[in-house]
Amino acid sequence: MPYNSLRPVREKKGMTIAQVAGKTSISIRTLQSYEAGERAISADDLRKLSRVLYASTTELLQPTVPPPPPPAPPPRPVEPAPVREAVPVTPAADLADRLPGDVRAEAEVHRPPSGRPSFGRPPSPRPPRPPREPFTPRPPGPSTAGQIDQIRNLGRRLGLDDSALVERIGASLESLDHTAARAAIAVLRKDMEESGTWQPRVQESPDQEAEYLAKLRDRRVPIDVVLINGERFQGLIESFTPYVVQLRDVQSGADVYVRKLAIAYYRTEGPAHDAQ
Amino acid sequence: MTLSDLLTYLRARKAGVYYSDVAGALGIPTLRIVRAERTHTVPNLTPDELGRLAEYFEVPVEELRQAQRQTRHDLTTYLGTQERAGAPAYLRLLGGIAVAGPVVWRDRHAVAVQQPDQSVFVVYRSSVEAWGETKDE
Repeated sequence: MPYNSLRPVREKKGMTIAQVAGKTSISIRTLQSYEAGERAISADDLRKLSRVLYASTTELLQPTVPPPPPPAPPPRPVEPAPVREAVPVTPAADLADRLPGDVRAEAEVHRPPSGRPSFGRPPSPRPPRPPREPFTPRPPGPSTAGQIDQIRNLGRRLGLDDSALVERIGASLESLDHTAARAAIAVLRKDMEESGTWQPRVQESPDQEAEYLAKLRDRRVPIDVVLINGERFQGLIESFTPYVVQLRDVQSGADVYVRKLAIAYYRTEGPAHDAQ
Repeated sequence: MTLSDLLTYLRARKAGVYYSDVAGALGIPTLRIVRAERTHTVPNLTPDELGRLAEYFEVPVEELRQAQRQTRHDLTTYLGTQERAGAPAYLRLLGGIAVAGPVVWRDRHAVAVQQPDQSVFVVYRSSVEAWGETKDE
């Protein structure tokens, strides 16, 4: 398998294999095998690599010479032992066994449990956290201009002058903080509700008439319709829409379509208990 | 009568023209006409627009200005208050007809009032000229 230019191009871009893997979703192992020339780069991966490395596919597939193997470390010069000592040279593997017992135990302590080699210094122990201060609620902020205006308006609607307002609230308006102002507004609103000066907003129901007309239609209740120009129509409701009512004259059987916009009022002829 | 209800009445009187007809004839956006009829507060029509509406509907502009002094919400609040209290509502319709009685139901367009003979009188808001008066008035 010829070597490709993946590795030189990647190194030229200053990217690591892990970075390329993260951007292309190709596994690191696959990338390593591509760079080593063990596998041919698939078409899909080639397209991804070309996009991430900003290089053409031709450039990536250009054969290159394999990178030279890393140089072997030079052998340590072994000084010949002095003849006087007469100690034989021992291989390095045997040296570990000759370490004192406590030194070997320390080396085992720094080895991670997964068996991978540890890099750098071992993590230093965290300093203990300082004890937390007990929670103290923040003091309320000053009252807003809107709150003061609202208090004045409520007082005016209740007929209270400034002195009576201060007496009712129990403090001057300038000395109120945000919480006290809110409490004062609640007190004044309650006063207004009790005095009948203020009433909650009355809502308009969207459509009650349709239900009523349906009951009149189903129970065959005759109605008398008067239009804004004074015209009158009497009959039974045959059908209706939000805009039009269809009436059928009881005697002649003729149908009349009346636009609701033109109706001034209508009434049932006689009691309409059932339809209510 | 409120301006909101008066505009509905005037549309009905002018052969039931649609919002778009009014808007097209006067050069006022359709949505402004719709909102003027539906808003609970005072319709925000400008004096110029009021003048054009008065000319189109052939009514004195003062009539529209007079109607603008009351909001749609005023009639709604009156009817809601009477309904909640179980008290009779007094309505005077265009043409001088007076209707009084407890509110049976009410919605955006109409209010149903029960009569002494147990019949029900359904009044459209666009025909309510005044409210809150006693029968004797």
